[in-house]
Amino acid sequence: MKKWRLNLFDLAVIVLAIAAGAAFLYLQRGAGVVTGSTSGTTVRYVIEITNLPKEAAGKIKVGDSVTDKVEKHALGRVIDFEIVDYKVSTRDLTTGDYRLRAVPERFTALLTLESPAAESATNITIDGAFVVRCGTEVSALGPGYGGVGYIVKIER
Amino acid sequence: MERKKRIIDERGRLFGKLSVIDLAVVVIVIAMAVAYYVKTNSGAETRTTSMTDVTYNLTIREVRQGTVDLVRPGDKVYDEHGVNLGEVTGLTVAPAAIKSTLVDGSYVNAGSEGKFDLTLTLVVGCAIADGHIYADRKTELTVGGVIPVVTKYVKTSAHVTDILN
Repeated sequence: MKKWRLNLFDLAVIVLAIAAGAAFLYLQRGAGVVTGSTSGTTVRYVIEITNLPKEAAGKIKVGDSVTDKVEKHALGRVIDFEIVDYKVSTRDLTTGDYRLRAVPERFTALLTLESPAAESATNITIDGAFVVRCGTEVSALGPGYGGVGYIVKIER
Repeated sequence: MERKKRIIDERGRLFGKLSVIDLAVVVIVIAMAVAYYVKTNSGAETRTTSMTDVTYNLTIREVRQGTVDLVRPGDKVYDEHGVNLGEVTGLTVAPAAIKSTLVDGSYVNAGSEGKFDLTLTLVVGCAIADGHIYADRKTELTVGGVIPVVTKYVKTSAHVTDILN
């Protein structure tokens, strides 16, 4: 059997593979910024789930585990919640001002979540990869309910 | 009779030594390396320019109270790629002001209930070359430009509204 020896072609392929891997990791890092050293902590933050029907809002309980529906990250446990009217911004055609108006029979759930987290000087990460920042869109899934909204508060 | 030497032999090797495929791969690798170098050094002059502290304003428009509460003096701001955009040295909060149309088609300055315009004053080390200002040597600051920004607690986008020095 012919003995395998590393040739220039093999070496070039290995270099390409390493370069592709490094590029992938760099792009994946995205807005992770400079992470620096991290420490374990607990993060409490509030997400909203908008445009819920009454039946879905009624299923929310303290203690529910909430996950990210798209990337399957564990977002934390519900430690408190509030159900409020679902309001959308509509334009007053006489003044031009935008006003918040309640949509009949639709609700917004404000879930306060708690999760173990890794905290660095530049970000707070939960479940290894989900960066908690106010303004991040979330597609949340709890037991029997789910929907889309944003992270609207973080305990600082 | 002496056999004539061929440029590419029957095994596809140049002058009997180097495979054409090997050579092509090497050329591709070198081309990729050169392209990467050129791309990452496109502002080549900024590499050699000294850094100057620049003070400028970023306005985050139409955000809710939750975002306003999470931005404070001393916070560090980055762009979406992690480029340092500076440290917040001051901030002002005002009711959101937006351009809106009326039924007659005219434009007015209007408000947006529950929304605020948050203006941050930042200081960042910049490379300045031919009048162009590059925060942290990488992200060009232009008045009117929109930059996706993050802090430790907030993710949003912001308009460069003024460059103060």
